[in-house]
Amino acid sequence: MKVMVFIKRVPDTAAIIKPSSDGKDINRENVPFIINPYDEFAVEEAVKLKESKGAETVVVSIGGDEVKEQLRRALAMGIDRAILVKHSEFWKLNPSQIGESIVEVAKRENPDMIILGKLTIDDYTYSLAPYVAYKLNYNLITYATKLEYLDGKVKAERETDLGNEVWEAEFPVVVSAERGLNEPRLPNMRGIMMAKRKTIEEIEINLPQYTYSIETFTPPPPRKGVKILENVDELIKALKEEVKVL
Amino acid sequence: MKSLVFIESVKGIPREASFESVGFARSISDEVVGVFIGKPENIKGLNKLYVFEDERLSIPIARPVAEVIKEVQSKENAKYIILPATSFGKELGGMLAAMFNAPILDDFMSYKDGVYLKGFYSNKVFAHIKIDGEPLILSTRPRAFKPVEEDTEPEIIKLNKELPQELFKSKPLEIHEKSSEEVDVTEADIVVSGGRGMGSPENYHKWIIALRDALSKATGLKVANGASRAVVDAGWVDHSHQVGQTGKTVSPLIYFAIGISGAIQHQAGMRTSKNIIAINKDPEAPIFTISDYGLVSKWEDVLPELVEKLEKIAKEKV
Repeated sequence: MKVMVFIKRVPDTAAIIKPSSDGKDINRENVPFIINPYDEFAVEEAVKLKESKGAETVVVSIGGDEVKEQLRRALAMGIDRAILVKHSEFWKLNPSQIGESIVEVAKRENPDMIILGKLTIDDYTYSLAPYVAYKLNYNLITYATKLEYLDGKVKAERETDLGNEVWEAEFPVVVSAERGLNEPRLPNMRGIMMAKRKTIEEIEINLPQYTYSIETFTPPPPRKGVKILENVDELIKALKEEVKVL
Repeated sequence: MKSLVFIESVKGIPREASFESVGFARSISDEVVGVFIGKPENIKGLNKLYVFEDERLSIPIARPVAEVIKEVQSKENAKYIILPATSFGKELGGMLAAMFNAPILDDFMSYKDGVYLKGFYSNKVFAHIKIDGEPLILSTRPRAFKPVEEDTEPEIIKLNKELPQELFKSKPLEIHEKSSEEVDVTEADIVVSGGRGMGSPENYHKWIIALRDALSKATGLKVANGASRAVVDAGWVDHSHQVGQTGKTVSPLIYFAIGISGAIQHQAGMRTSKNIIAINKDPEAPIFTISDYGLVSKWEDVLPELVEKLEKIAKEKV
């Protein structure tokens, strides 16, 4: 079995994000970057498959040399190989373009399974997994919180806004990872040393061009400030007279 | 210009978020065509409604539904394909982008003069986006748009199409729906969230739930219980309730933050709520900086009294 994982480099969830001075981008100075947290569940799942089923594993990302930091972390966690689709300013791409880069790599690699996060927390898109599944004609399971591997197919628990479900799908399959799927490991020293020695394959892909641009970033509208209430009666009064829900 | 809207339903009943998508579609196009899987009832605001029935789709599955939309699009050639950004709508949207080789904007929250607004980095910044395509795939963030008001009766067109079995290779085996009292935090009018300051899972389950139920009775609105990452990680409540950057992003009418200090990751998930009410014993807690109303108290001194008074209000209403 061959498992391919896609990861994206994103700002740390604890980072303060502000528009840059010209508003065309966010301020990237002194912002720590991480593997998109949902993609990290995907990496862990692939490494577990390597350990339990001897799966061959490959991690893919898009961007410039800076993204090698995240690819090496995935290697240090235990992934076999890494591929970087070269692109400067990958954070300006539309999900359909990122999706296409994953599709192109998958066509070369022919994995039985592709795992990626349900959501990328930078541009807040949920589109990548379904995009890739459709283009490759793979089966799709989104929002997976638990995976069980059966003969030629995968059984998944998933979580949606309507409740919890159990689905199954035959290979080849694309799975999007939801929080709860697993607990990503911290790379150990041996893993980190091995990852340093590995070569990251770099490739170029011609992406489709779309009319898509982020004109400006603005901070969220300021809130009007807090009114301190003294007791429960004042809160009830505010709910009645100001919020008008009682 | 024409819009095609997918009307998502649960057990035959259209979801409110679908009517918000229709409302948005009305604002940008002069003709709105809908697609509905099942037997339609009470579907408003559309010029035409394509109806498709297939018992294999009593639980929606994205791949075959995408095929139904392809069929409708081949007849209508709509400029915009619009979906609600529900769990299913976001999945379907990605497939449609691939199907039509089109750009996509999912989960956006407003539109003005050719520019779409979407929260990036979970609402830490707002992105003003220009996007165009033939077609363009858009999904509207639930609760961000007004549901359609016009009660136009659509012309109903039945689709006769045989979907091949090979489109059903990913399929549901078991469904555990939320009970009717349980509303998802993204769909609720009021979210009552508890954090580490609640002290224990027992306190959370007793008092956050009591406040949720009392508010629901007193207001008649949809109320959900939410949680901070700390208490989800501690196992007090499952992560479907988690609000924040690695949980859900919500913008209810009222957000209660109880015993939540307001870490930046949590703020990212709830700062666009219309009214934020914080209850925290620490006057320096960052949550107060983004709140509209604050009670600097221990939760124990507030919740029992608040629940009691809300229950009294609920009884008086009956």
